Amino acid sequence: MPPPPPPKTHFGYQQVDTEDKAARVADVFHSVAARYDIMNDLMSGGIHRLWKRFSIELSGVRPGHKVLDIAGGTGDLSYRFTRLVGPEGQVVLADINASMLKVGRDRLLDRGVGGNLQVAQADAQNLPFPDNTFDCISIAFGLRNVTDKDSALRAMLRVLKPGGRLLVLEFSKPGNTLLQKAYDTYSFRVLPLMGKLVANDADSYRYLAESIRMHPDQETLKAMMQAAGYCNCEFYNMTGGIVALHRGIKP
Amino acid sequence: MPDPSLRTAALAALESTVNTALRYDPATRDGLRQLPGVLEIESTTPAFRLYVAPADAGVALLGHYRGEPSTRLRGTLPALLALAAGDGDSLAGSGVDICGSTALLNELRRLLRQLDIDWEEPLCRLLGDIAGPLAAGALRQSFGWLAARGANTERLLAEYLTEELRSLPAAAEVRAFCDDVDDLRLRADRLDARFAQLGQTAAQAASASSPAPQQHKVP
Repeated sequence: MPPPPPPKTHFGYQQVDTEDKAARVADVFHSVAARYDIMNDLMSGGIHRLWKRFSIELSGVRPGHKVLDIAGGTGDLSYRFTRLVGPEGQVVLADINASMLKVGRDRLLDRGVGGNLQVAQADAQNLPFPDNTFDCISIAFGLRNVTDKDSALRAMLRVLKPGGRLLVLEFSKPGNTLLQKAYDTYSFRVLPLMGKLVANDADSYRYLAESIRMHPDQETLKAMMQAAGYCNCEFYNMTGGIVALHRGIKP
Repeated sequence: MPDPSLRTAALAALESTVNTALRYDPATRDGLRQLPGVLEIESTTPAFRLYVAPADAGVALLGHYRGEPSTRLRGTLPALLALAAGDGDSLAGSGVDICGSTALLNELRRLLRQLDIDWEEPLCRLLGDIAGPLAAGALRQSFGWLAARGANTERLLAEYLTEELRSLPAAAEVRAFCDDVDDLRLRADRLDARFAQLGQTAAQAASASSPAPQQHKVP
């Protein structure tokens, strides 16, 4: 009898072995790390700053809090969190990808952040922190790249303090069909072209667009958070639902 | 509710404008940094809410705040703007409700009144150290002349309206009238309280005397 085929998962529109997905995502981010911030500004027209600012406002982080910024990448959110928690607080910038983490750490050092910031290379599914550690966890534009989202949500629940908040900022599904059409054209025609011209890497940006389409929509992600054990789950649509911010609280 | 990204954009733009202006008035900026708490401003028409919190760069304008603000202001947008622009010391008659500590609000208004932005510095940065002060001097002179004319016109107009036309009452008359109204309101309140007290005493007396005869009937 032949051995059972290895379990499959999606990588953009392709099916790949579950074990391989992390490595392929890592390849994408190794290749985009250096130009990640320029491309973000270019692709979103700068709106990603507003999405992040709104998330920070809803985080309710105050001086003295401990915050974990998963998939923190180049440290945009971490920078703002370090300002909010003050010298008594602590921010951990975590990312699974060493290249992104290096860019983020260097940028934060250049901006004079130190003392209340730690950097950790960590996998969202197996977080190397004790239970009940953080007042707030944010994962911005990272959850869709995680292989097993349910296990990542459970891992984050474990390290949150009771009453702590999880914020998931992620691309989602636009509510308006016209907007959906325009958005599809933009992400499958314009994005790979921009990626090719600016970063000389069309494939990575095609993966970006495809992975957004494969990500669960607002209600599904909310249900996943509820199933993982979060309470008071709610989401806010931004820019017509292109991006949604989900928030859940550990009971 | 409008799209959060639009509202966030408006607030971010406003905040960065305010903080850029504050860069040229370091005293006010330091004062704002040390504001003793967070101010919630709620406009009823149009309906929106924003929070003013102290921040490194001066102030932060937030659409959401998950703590307890120390002061809440509530009113229509025109009333709130009039309050910010006016220099009166009392909120009476402004149409704005306040709830919580007034110290924060007083501090904020004191800072706003003292706002003294040094326009010379950005000009000097732009034009250099010789042309900058000259341009600033010329600007200051013309603004000073305009301000003096403006103040003069305002005074003359006010005097003309109150003294010559007698179409508006003078400030002292208005104050006296307001005092009289306050006095009358106070007296009316006292009378009301007195009536309420008398009514209560009467009711008590009635209830004390009425059950007694019923008890006599029992045996």
